[in-house]
Amino acid sequence: MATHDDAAIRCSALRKTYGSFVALKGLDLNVPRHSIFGLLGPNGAGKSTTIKLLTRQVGPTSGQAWVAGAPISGQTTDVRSRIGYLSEQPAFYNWMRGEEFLDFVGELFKLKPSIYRNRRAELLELVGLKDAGKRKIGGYSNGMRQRLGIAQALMNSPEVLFLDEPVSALDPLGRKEILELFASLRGQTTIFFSSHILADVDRVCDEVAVLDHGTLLTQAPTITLKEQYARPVIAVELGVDAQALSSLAEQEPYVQKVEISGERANIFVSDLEIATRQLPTALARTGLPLLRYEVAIPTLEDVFVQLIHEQTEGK
Amino acid sequence: MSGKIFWALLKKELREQFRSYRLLIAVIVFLILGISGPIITSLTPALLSNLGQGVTITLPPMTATDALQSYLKNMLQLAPLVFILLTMGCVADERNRGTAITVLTKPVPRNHFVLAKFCAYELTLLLSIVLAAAGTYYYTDLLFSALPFASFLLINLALFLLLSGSLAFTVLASVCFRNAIAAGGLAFVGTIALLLLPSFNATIAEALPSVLFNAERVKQLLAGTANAPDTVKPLLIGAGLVVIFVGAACVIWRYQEI
Repeated sequence: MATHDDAAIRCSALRKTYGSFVALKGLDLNVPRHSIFGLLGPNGAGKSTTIKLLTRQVGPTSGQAWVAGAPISGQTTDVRSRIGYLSEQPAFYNWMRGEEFLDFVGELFKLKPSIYRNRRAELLELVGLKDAGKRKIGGYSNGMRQRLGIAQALMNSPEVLFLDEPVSALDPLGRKEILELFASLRGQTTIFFSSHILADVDRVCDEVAVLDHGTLLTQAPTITLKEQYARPVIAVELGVDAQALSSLAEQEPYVQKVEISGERANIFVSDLEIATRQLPTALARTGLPLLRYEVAIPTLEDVFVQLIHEQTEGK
Repeated sequence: MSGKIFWALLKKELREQFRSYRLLIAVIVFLILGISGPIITSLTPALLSNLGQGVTITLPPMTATDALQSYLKNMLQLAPLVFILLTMGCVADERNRGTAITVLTKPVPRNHFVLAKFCAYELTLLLSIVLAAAGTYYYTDLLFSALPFASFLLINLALFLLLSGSLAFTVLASVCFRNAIAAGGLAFVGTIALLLLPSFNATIAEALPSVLFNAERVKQLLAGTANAPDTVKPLLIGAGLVVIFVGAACVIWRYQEI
C-alpha cells in the first residue's frame, strides 16, 4: 500500500451525503503513484461518487483528499490541471470535428497552439482515430466516442487519469485494445478506474479497492487479494458424465466440496499442496477418462463475490 | 480571470452559434423586424384605404417618429421571445447532455463557463440590433425623413440594455434548471414582468429603460428636449440589472453540482 508521500491519490475520511442518503462513509484510500488502480463495487457502492469528488465535480460533505499532491478543495492549486477524466458516457459537442475538439481541450489547459496541435496528432494516432479526426463527432460510433474521450483525457499528459467505467460501451475487441492502451501507459501516469467488469480490472490493475454501500471493504495489490480470498479449486474435465466424482468429498479428507456440471467438475480442497499430490491418484483410481486437469487460477470475481458475500452476512 | 480560457470558451460559443444557425436566425429575424417598421408604417394609409367599401378612415400623415414607434413595438414584442428561444438551453442543455462535465473537469473557472455564454449571446444581440437599427434608419430616411442620429442611437442603447436584461435573466434561468423548457418558461415570465411592471407602478416605470420608449419620451428625445438625468437613470438601472442577473447566474452555478 502506498505511503502518504508516494501516493498519487490520498483520501482521508472523505464523506459525501445527498440529503439523508450517505453515498460515501468516510473513505480512507491511498493510491500508489504510477499504478493502475481499480475501484470495484456493485451498483450504488459509491464508485462514481468517489470519482466525482476527486475530479471536483462535487464537493465533499467532510474529509479531504489530495490528487497529485493538490487538495481537491484547494483554492490556490487547481487539481484539475493535473488530471484527465473520462466519464462512462463521454459527452462532446457533436457539431465539432474530432481534431477541433482536442484543440479546444488543449486551449482549456492553456497549452500553446504548437504544443496542442502536436499532441492532438499524437493522441489521434494513439487511440486509432487518425483518419476520423476531420469528421464531425456527431457521426462517430460509441467506440469512436470512447476513444476520443480517452484522447481528450490525455491531452494534458495528466499525472492521474480518472476513468469511470471506461470500456463498458465497447465491443470485446475494442475493450481489449483500450485495455492494452491503458497497460501501455503503466509507469507514465497513475490510472484510477472504476468498473464492474471484473475481468477487465483483473487484466490490467496492479491494485484494487472494493467499495460497498459507501464503505471501503478492502484495498490491496490484486495478487495479494487473490491469494488471500480465493479458495483452492481444481478443475477437471472427463470424457463422460462427471457425476461419478461426487463421492470424492466422502472418500478424500482434503476434498471439501465437488461442483459438477455435465462432464466438468470443480473440486474444492482444503489444502492445495496435499491435493496436488494425492488427487491425481484418486482420480486415476476411478478409472474415468480424464481430458483436463488444472489448478484453477482464482479470479478477481471470486474475491469480489466473497467480499460482498461476507459484507452481506456481517450485516 | 484567466483570459486564455475565457477566450477559448467564447470562441467555442460563437462557433457553436454560427454552425447551429442561431447567429443567422437572430440576425435575419432582427433585420426583418428593423426593416418592416418603416415600410409597414409607410404602407399603412394605403392598406387602410383599401380596407372596406364605403368606409373612410382618415389618418394624419405618417412621420419618421411613427416609423420609429413601429420599430420599437416590433422589437419589444418579438425580439425578447427570439432570444429566449435561442438561449434557454445554453446551460441547461450542457448539463443534460454531460458536456458541462467534460468542460468543467478541465481547469475552467465555473464563472467563465457562464460568462462566455452570456458574452457570446450579448455579441449576437449587439450585432442583431445594429443591423435592425441600420435597416430602420435607412428605410425611415428613404420613406420619411432622417431621424436625429444621436437620439436614435440613445433609444437603441436603451433597447439593447432592455433586451440584455432579458438575455441575462434567461441565462440565469438556464443555470437554475436542468430542463431547457422550464428555463424558457421562467425566462418568459421574467421578461413579461420586466416589460409589464412599468404599467403598474410609476416609480418602476421611470426606473426601467422601457420608459424611454413611451411615445411622449420618444418625441422629447428626438426633439432633443428630454431631461438628461431622466434619460441616464433608466440606462444605468438597465445595465445594473444585467450585472445582477449575470452575477446571480455565476454565483448559483458555482455552487451547483453538475
